[in-house]
Amino acid sequence: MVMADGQVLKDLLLQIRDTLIKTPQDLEVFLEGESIRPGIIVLINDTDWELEGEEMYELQNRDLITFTSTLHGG
Amino acid sequence: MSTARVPRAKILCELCHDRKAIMKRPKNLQKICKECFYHVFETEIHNTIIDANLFQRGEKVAIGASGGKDSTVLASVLKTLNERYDYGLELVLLSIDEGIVGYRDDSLATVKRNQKQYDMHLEIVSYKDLFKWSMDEIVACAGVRSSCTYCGVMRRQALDRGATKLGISHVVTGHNADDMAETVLMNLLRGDTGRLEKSVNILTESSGSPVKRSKPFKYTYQKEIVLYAHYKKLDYFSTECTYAPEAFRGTARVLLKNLEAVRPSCIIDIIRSGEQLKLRPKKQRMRVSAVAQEVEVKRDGSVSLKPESSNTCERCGYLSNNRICQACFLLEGLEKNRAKVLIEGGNTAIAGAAKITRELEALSF
Ligand code: SF4
Ligand SMILES: [Zn+2]
Ligand SMILES: [Zn+2]
Repeated sequence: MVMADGQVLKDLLLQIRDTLIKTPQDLEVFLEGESIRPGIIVLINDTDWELEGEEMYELQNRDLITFTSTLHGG
Repeated sequence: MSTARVPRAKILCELCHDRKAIMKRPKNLQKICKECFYHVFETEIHNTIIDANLFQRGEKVAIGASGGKDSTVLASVLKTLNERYDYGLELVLLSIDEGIVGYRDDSLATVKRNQKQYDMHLEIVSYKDLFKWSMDEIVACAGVRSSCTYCGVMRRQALDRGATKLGISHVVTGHNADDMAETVLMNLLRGDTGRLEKSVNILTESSGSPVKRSKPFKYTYQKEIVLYAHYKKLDYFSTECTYAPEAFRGTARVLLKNLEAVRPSCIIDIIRSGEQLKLRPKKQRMRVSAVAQEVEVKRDGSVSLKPESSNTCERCGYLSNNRICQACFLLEGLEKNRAKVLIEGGNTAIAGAAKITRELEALSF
């Protein structure tokens, strides 16, 4: 996904919401309000986003952001 | 990007003080590196196994394997620990084929790869073979709302039978701390104190089953299981069952996840609270069940009031002190219902399923 300079992870979440997610049901699985739904693990370049400032993490070129849900399956 | 950004200061692992921390443990908020994570994750599960005296040397143990992350990590970790600490276990994979097209056929393919990866025997038992009904057929007849009620009853019996066939009397499942806390919450919210007390046991044995069940991941967080699978690049399947999970469980799960976001230790705290809850011995219940002897079905699914007499289900031959076992009871209702649907051609399926669910609740399995 192409992002403008100086944006943070929160901007990415909103951009995903606005460009990739097509149905309200899908959105509900991903976001709660404007934040990531509790139970989704976010990794920034394979590191727990809780160590990287979460939503305020400043995106850099070629960052790999992974979202994994713990809510389903077993 | 034109200007090189100054990289963030690395956070060092709080255990080895050497490598970069890659995760924060939900249990204690410790920031640790990948190697230390593997080590504490595996060691804590080993300690749980030892503290609960879960396994006996030479025991043959079946891993209830769904192809999902929990049971895949369980197979991987048990294999590792069995070798590292020389438990002397013989481990096999036991899978259930519920007959859910688009879900179980793909996840079984994953289990078959796991079989090779972990070099374990794989046994697959199918609902269709055991009960002559696949989940898809049940849902077509009973509606989607009670799918998990049927599925749960049948799974319990299918696991028993698969294990018995292999001469195994111990099945381990991938239920983790989040699942357990969720169940505690659910039973608490429903006021189901009998289940509440049992739901935190790491090992369950019941008079109605020759096979004991245990949960080595009782204290293991879902988040850590997911990260372990991710970092170890384990081969698992992550698509959801096409039938909605039990509505109330879903509600409890969301509640738990919201609590966890505020206070990650709450998952273990809920389990610990559950462990402290002990019911007063119920004299009254004994009287009631003695009166209602013929119809009493216990919570663990057994129907034994006199443990010394053990009968079998007249339909399928499975252990049951009732005329028919729990699974056959359900399916009998379904067959009547199917006949009705055929005759009336109407939409009685949903109503029938709801009725069966009510009957089941009244019986309190
Ligand atoms: S979600 Fe329900 S129907 Fe699907 S596999 Fe699980 S118990 Fe069975
Ligand atoms: Zn370390
Ligand atoms: Zn039966």
